[in-house]
Amino acid sequence: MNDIILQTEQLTKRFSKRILAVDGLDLQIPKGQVFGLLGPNGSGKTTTLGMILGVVSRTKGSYNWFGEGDDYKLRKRIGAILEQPNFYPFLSARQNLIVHSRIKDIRKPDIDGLLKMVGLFERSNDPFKTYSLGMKQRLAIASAMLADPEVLIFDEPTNGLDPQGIAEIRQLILNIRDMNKTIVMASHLLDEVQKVCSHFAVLRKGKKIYSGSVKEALESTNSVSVSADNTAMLIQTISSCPGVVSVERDGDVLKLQIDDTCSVAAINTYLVEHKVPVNYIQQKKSSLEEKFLEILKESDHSLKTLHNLPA
Amino acid sequence: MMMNIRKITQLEYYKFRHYRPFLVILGLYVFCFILAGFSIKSLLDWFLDKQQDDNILKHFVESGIPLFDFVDIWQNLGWLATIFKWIPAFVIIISVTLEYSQKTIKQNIIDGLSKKEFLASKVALVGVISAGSALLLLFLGLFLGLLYSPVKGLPYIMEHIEFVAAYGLEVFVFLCMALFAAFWIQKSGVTIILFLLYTACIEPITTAILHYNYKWEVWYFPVEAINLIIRVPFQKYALEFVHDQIALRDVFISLGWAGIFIGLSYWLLKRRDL
Repeated sequence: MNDIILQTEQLTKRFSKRILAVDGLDLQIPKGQVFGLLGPNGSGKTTTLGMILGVVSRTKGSYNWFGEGDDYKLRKRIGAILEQPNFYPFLSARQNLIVHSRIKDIRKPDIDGLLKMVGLFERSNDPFKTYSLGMKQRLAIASAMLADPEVLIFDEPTNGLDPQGIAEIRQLILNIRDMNKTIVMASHLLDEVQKVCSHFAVLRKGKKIYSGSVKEALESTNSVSVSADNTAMLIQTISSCPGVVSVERDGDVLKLQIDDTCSVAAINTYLVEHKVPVNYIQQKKSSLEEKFLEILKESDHSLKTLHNLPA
Repeated sequence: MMMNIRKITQLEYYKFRHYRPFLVILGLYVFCFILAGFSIKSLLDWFLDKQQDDNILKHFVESGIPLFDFVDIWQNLGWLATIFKWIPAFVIIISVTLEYSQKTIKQNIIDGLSKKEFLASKVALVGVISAGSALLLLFLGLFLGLLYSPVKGLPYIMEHIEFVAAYGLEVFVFLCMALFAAFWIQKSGVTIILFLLYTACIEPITTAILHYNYKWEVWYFPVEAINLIIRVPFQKYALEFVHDQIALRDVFISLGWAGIFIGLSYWLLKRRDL
């Protein structure tokens, strides 16, 4: 039983002498993960997805689907959309899905069910070219779901949509996640990755500069806000609490930085034990945006130090 | 690796059965084909009627040109139908370039079709149209022959019926060339213009110059080879010089070109990112 859905080893794409789009990328995506591939525009996300989907040739490295290799037939078990939804403009949603199911060798596709799921059932006999961008994107999701695939790949799924369209697509992806599907999603929208993904990797100039779980990334910079009636007493007590790294006063509220050994519950218990009643305590989660900028800054820094090294 | 022929043929059918421009062009092809078949006789009569004072032509009118006589009819019609092969060539070019412009070829590959299967589905379309063209010629020939031919026995009908297959081959190789052009250039307008320029202008003029001025053999050029499969039949009515056989050399050269065009298309498809 192999639980790795996708593994890449030293995946590299060089478009020309100067353009190295993806540089030695190692990824491992286990079953059930919702994996976000994060990075600014031009960082190699789409090229990476293109390579693992067989439409962009590799310069170097390998990828492995389901532990079974890189044969094109394995792609029938993947539901994927790259960049824009691509369909035959003169065919209706229904006819387009028939073409897709023929390629994927599906004998009895549940076309009605899927069209209802993405809310296109009423328009299913109109030609694709008459659809709005949101409808096109929803049809793309329906076609990705056609084979009841083990893994879904979305590339900037909400790109160019209006707020309502974005909300609809996100809800669809969340619904799919709840069906226990593995999802790989490329995005430059941090907020999207934070809301949807369980794990993520950050790409920059084709290199992976960070990877880990979204939860850990957010907790590792945890800060806690506390306040009590007697602020002076609180400062005195809290400073000696194990695991508290720093204390900073901001009006009546204290901002604490805590390390991994500490938790909100531990602080609360400690304060109660020392008879300092608390009237407000909250763990403040940093947003992925802060983390992302921090990661980029770190990578900038490491690049600079690298360049400063004597030859 | 066995390819599912049924699957790839069905795929093309599902893709294009509702595409109106496609159906209109194919319909026009059939219409022109039949219309031409039925108007040759009246055109010829009218033409000869106007030239009554010309003695040589007069001789022909009296003896009657055996255009639709069995045995001769297959080569005559096959050669005349040559001119229509550009119409299905445009259909092939549109069907391939549309997949590029709409990026559906990319989605097909992502969905789990191999590049080989994609090419095979287009070659299947070429095959079906070529076979259809040969059938069209067969029906038209039978109809006109049975209407106008003085001899009507089965042995006469069957003699030289291989020109029907030869026409199918001619269309097939020509469409393979169009297929390659489409895979190569990828833009429908440019492909159609360049294909038309090359097949109707550049190659005929080049080969003519090479042949008459420099005494080159030009039978191995693609368009030349395709056109040579069915030789011009009419000299035999004026001169004694007769080409009423299909030369195996021309067949093999054409088949070779078909192989080269399909091979090059595959090479391009394999090499390029989508």
